[in-house]
Amino acid sequence: MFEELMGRRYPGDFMACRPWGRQGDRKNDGYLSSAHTLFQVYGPNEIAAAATVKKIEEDFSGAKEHWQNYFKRWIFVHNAHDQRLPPDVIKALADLREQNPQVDIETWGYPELLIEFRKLGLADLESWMGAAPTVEDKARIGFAEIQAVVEHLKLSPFATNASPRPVPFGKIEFNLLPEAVASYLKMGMGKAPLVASYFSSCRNPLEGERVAAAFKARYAELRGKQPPLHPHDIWGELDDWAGGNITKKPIEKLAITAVLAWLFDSCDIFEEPPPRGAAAS
Amino acid sequence: MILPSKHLPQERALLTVGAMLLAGLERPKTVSALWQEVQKGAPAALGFDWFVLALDLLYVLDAIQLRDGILVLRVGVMDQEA
Repeated sequence: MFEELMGRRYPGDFMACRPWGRQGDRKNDGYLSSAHTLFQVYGPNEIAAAATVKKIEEDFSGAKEHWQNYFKRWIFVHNAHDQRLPPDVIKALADLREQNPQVDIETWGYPELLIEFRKLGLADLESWMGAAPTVEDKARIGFAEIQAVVEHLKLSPFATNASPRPVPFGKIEFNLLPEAVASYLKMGMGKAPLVASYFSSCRNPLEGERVAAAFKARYAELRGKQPPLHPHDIWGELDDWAGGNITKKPIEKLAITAVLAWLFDSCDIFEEPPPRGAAAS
Repeated sequence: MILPSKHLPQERALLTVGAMLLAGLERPKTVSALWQEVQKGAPAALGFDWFVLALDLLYVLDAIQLRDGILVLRVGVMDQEA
């Protein structure tokens, strides 16, 4: 990890040392050429005072023996959990400084390594850690569930000669959805049959079930929030989750609306009104 | 997945696909021969994994068996249907 960090932070300058047979690493865990700096890394499970003092004295002494002409700065890198070193260790380091005024002796723990880490560029961070999800990615996490159908719908022409399937009677009113949402639903219903036919022809016959289950679970989560969300807000949250409010392309937004309309029609999201004529109990 | 559901049309439910496979086993066949045959006649896209699941279902229902690598109907299955 240390070598990875320093190698990326100082490419062409930092040289990691590979232990070589009986020679070992000759008390060199890395050398920063431009700064004439030699690193010694110590990462035990627990910092024990006596063992650490012994390690520091041996490593510094060995470093002088092998690298005296090459370093002016010696850095002891440790992994003390709370960044605090035992007093014996601090004294050992102070003694070394007294005895070797020609060498800058430092210690690096988590904060110093963090400073180096924060200086890495985005390209280095992504190639090391992988790309981080953006705020948009996090908001439209449900989009992954429907990406395939959205891609399919983007390529499917509207059936201009067919009348769009009507929005389920009474369901908009029963769920207290405002006119603005009703307009979206009506627009989405134009492509809702294509959503159904996409899932009917999917290689995996359970794909429609999977998508519906994901949205149903998200709807149940939003429906159960306290204080309760207004149905209009639930629609907005579902739309965000699916990526509808973030996507910039109208065709993609329409495809997402179509999926939501399909789910609305099949009652996987929002509540189904009681059958017409059913007596109120 | 065995029975049709809201988003699983009847023609894709395992029970329906299984019935289609039984119809294709009037004479004993190898698995690959049956697979090739049902691909031609399947009303909806049928993946091999779904085909195998349908065979599994028929096997656990004791409707088919494998004899020397050949799929055969269990005695009486078609008679019971008739």
